[in-house]
Amino acid sequence: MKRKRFNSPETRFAFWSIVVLLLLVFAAAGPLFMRHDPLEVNLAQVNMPPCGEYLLGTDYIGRCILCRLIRGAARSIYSALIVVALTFVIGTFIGTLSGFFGGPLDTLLMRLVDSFQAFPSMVFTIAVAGMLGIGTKNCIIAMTVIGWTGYARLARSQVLSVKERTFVSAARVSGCSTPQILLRTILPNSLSPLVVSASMHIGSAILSFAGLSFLGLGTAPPFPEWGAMLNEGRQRLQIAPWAVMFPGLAILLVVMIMGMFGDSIK
Amino acid sequence: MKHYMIKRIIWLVPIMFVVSIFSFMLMYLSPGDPVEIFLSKGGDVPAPAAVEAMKERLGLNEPIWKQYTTWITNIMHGDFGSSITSGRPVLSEILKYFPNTLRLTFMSIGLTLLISIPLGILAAVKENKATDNLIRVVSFINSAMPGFFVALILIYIFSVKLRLLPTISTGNASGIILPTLALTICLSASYVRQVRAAIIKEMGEEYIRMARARGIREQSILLGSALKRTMPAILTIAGINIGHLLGGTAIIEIVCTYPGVGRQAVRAIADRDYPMVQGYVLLMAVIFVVVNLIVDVLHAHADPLVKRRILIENRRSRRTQA
Repeated sequence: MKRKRFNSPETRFAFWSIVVLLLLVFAAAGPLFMRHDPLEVNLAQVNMPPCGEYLLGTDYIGRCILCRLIRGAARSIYSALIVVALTFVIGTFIGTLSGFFGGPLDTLLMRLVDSFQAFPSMVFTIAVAGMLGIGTKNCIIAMTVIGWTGYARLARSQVLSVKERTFVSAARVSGCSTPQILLRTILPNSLSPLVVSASMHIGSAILSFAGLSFLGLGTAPPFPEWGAMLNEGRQRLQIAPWAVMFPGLAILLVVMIMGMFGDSIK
Repeated sequence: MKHYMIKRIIWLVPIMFVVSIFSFMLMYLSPGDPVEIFLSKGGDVPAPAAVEAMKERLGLNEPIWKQYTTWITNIMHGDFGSSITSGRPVLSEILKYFPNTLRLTFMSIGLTLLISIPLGILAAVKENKATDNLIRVVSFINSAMPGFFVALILIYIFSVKLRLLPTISTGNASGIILPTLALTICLSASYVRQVRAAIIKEMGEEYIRMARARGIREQSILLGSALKRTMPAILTIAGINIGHLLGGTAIIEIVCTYPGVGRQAVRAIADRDYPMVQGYVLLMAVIFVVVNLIVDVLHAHADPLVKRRILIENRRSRRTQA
């Protein structure tokens, strides 16, 4: 990032987009190139430190940690992306309606946003995910239910300012219908801060999702989701620290890449 | 100012109403019948008579709106119901662990401010120099670390390798060290960044140039003027974080086996202890909202610009009303 040729914003954005793209492809296709079965229990080789055969060691029942990380990558990363996409779409939709139509609808929707934001987010996410029951889908639902409000606020304020611009009046005068104005004129012109905000949220969504899995609310074992792997590993921190360190580092690395990507969009 | 506060407090009423409905409805999110799930936890199918009896006892056969009104009326009288698992009142169960969370919250925020303000100032003073870059890289990595990973690394270093601290904390003096450190490390990254950005912005202001021109020492400009002006913003962030942390940082509390409300709440969720979960979520939302209100009011008091904006807004809204 500090190298001279990456200094222009465009190249930086291109560079980090490619990195993120590679990461996504790797997460999806990685399982095709695994040396071991990530679910295979091998009691002859439990808690092995990293070695030639098992590059990142094995866990407490002899499963290959590297293969488990590769297998879990898609779940950890794509779930977070789904959450970001859903919250972005729902929040933008509600915020746009609220800002465009104003009046009682605006008041109602914004009070709803206030009420959602009256909960400390982690408390509410854990409670909703926990009540819905263990599972990746339920975690995604819980995080979406809590997460959309920020986008709604932002979209509303964007639409409020775009609405007053001359080109909107021009579109109206030239006979465009309300949905046309909303979709073709207002939305494209209010989208950019929302996209920036969404890209900045990918990292924190990965962290929250891993956190829910870590609490045992996300992906059920034996599936190797990264947060769940950390939770399994922590019982044996004393004898097999690698079972904790590598999943932790994997999360750290991916969140850092997403952070860089978000920064480069800004 | 008074007008602003009263308006904010009145707005709380409808919001708290919706919040209480959300908290109450949490129970209906779970698939299947809550009583049946609770009774069949041992693995066997519960007898229909037992299910009926428990439903009757908890008032679950009433229509939902009636259940809600009973629940909220009881809460108005300070009765949050009883925990299904322990049979003890929900409120006293939560209050038992709350002091621990309170202590953890304030120690973490205090330590975070203590560490990140000097670091932020240092980074701002050395803007774009090696020190600044180092602080920035470290805080960037730090912000990408999951809290539980930080906590586990700390446990590994201090409890497993150095054997300095107990792995299992009991809420006593040494047990609070690890969760405090973990939270501080998690929080500091964003504080350092905020302090740095705020100080850099402040140092570019006209009045700082004036002060320099008048020959005031750089140090007293930095600490006396720039830092003083940025403090309200920093304290506001701290206030919002306090609101979040008081809800219990379930993950850190669980990793460090610290007896706080967050850990208790996750246990209640796992046990499907509905009265506990409802009471916990509602109480935490109330605390969160009240803390945020206090923070906003204090911020408005401390920051003349915000105070002026509120006054102008008030005047404008009064004019439109008239």
